[in-house]
Amino acid sequence: MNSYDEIKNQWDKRNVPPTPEKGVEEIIKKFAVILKKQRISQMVLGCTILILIGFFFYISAYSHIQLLLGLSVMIVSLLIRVLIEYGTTIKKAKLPLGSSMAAYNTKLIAYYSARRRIHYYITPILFVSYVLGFVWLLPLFRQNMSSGMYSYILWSSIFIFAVLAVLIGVQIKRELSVLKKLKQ
Amino acid sequence: MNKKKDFTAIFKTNYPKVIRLCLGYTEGREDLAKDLAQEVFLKVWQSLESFRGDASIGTWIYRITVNVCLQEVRRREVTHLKLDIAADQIISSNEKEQQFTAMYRCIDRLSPENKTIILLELESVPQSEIAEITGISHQAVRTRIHRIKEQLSKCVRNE
Repeated sequence: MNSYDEIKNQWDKRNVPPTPEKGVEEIIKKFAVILKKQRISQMVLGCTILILIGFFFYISAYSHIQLLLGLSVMIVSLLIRVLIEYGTTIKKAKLPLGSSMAAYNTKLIAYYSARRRIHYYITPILFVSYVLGFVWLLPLFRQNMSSGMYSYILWSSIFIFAVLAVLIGVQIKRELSVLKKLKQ
Repeated sequence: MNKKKDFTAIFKTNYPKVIRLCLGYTEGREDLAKDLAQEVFLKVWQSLESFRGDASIGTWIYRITVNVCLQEVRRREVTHLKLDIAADQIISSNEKEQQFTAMYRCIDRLSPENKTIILLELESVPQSEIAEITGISHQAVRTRIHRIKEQLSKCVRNE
């Protein structure tokens, strides 16, 4: 196989899987499953917001300034992060796949550049705010909990924050690699 | 009901060319190519109503195929996933299979843009349509095809 014509000849002789008979039905069914999953995600997100607000009032967080501040900062940071993720996921799904390769690449570059700005500026601020909110609550935990429980909450939270930081870092690194590849 | 009827016709007409193109992006791995083809038609079903007819339906489907497959290529590269087709086929003493392996491996070494151009050329898509699918000028496509053909022939000879 030396020349391009031979490669082309070889290409034309490849075995190609036949058109699946139930392909259309499978696609329609899969699409329905995707829609259902989207609705479930929206419901979970809505319920999370309601539960957080409910919890806020349940423990009368508004009556204690330190509790109010700490919990509000944590809840708001978390909500902003979740809403940003949700919004950008929808934005990516709406990118026009039917555009030419070059046009789609340009849109993807714009999308990942926006994500990079989020990762560089908003994510660290939100992460630090979340941790600060937790730190604000620590004196209250110490006053109202046994020392064993307090130590458990403190160390398990440090561990969770560390794992979270690593996971966010991995995700950011992956997205930056995609952006780099798109720009090549 | 009309949408399903239209989609069924589109699916039956275009599935062979979509799966053929997907096989080029997956080094001939049928299972992966089938998944990609399904993903392509899922997107077609999803956006069929928004198809404005700026290009022919065939060109539009090729564009979706290229964009979906390139996303998969990038995902594999970023997550460092390697296809294991080469290992399967290297042990084969069948000369024909070894030639296929060499061909796919050489195509895979091309840049994503060049890979797309040559896969469409191998599929005998007219150069003007390749230009429409890729968004690269007709003249640039013609020049590139010439260069990629030489690159590909040289690679396959050395394999």
